[in-house]
Amino acid sequence: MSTSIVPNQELHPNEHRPFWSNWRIWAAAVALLFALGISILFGSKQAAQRGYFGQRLFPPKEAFDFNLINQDAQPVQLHQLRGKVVLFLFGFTHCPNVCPASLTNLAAVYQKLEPEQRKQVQIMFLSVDTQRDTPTVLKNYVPWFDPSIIGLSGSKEAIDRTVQEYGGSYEIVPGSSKDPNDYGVNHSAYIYLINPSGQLEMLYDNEKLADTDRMVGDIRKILAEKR
Amino acid sequence: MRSVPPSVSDTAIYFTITNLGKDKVALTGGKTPIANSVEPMVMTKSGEGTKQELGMASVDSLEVPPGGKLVLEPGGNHLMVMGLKKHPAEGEKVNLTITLEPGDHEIRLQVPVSRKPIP
Repeated sequence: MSTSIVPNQELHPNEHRPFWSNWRIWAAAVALLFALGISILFGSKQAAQRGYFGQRLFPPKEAFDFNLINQDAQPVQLHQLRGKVVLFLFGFTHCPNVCPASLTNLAAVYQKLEPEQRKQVQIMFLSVDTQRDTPTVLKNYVPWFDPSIIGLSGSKEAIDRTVQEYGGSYEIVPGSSKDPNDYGVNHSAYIYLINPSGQLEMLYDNEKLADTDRMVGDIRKILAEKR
Repeated sequence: MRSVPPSVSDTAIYFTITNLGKDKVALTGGKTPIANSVEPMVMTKSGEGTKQELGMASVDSLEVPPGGKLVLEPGGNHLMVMGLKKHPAEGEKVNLTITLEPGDHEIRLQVPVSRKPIP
């Protein structure tokens, strides 16, 4: 009998070893975990984006805590806005086309929210035109779109740092005349949604703002899942 | 025409021109009694993603291709109105004369003023 068992053991060498010593099982387990990991990673990214109109940053990242000046010449730091959804954009008041369109569209979004929700939303417009856009100029500009809007300015250093930290960009383009105030400003026109925890959560290109209902939908959703 | 805050001296006009003919037509500019000048502008884009800068550039004319359209719209190509002498209220209509080539052809329009102008 014993002679017949030995060749059998040789034919099935693992039969009497514990199952975890089989490399095939390990390979299968590793492959399974890998596949699971991939599906969790990408699945959750899709789940995070699903239903949102804006381009969602997942996970959201801490938004740069800028230190700027409002239209009443009072300092404003982003962390003072904790608990609110902040809609933040760059521009300049001499902008004839893009900025008034973005501000009008954002004001329409704000005005479509319920009064209770409006208390938890703040639109902030940062002028990157340090030469012409003083707090006084901004005070004559932003409230026209909606009285709630905060118009920000500041030192060139503070503005440049903020633009850089938000991944934006701008450039002064000299005009054709010798007038030192004759220039245009090319600037990035993304709108940053900062969630009530002070994290950058959503990005919108300026064209998206025209879709008031879907913008309102995103804001309501973020307020509902307020952390 | 987009209505703008009283402190702002420039604004933009948007509309669509359809060319039913077989020849090229170009919009070369315009004039309005309420501003110093009216100039065609193109929208410019440079860079990518969040760093993409939007700007504008003055051009001699904007072409309306034969059988095609020229669309002037918010955030895109437009007629820029510079040096506003008065700020018409929403709902008012502004006299505008646009100039088309060939032939230095003038067309008189009345453009409605709105905070949210539709092309």
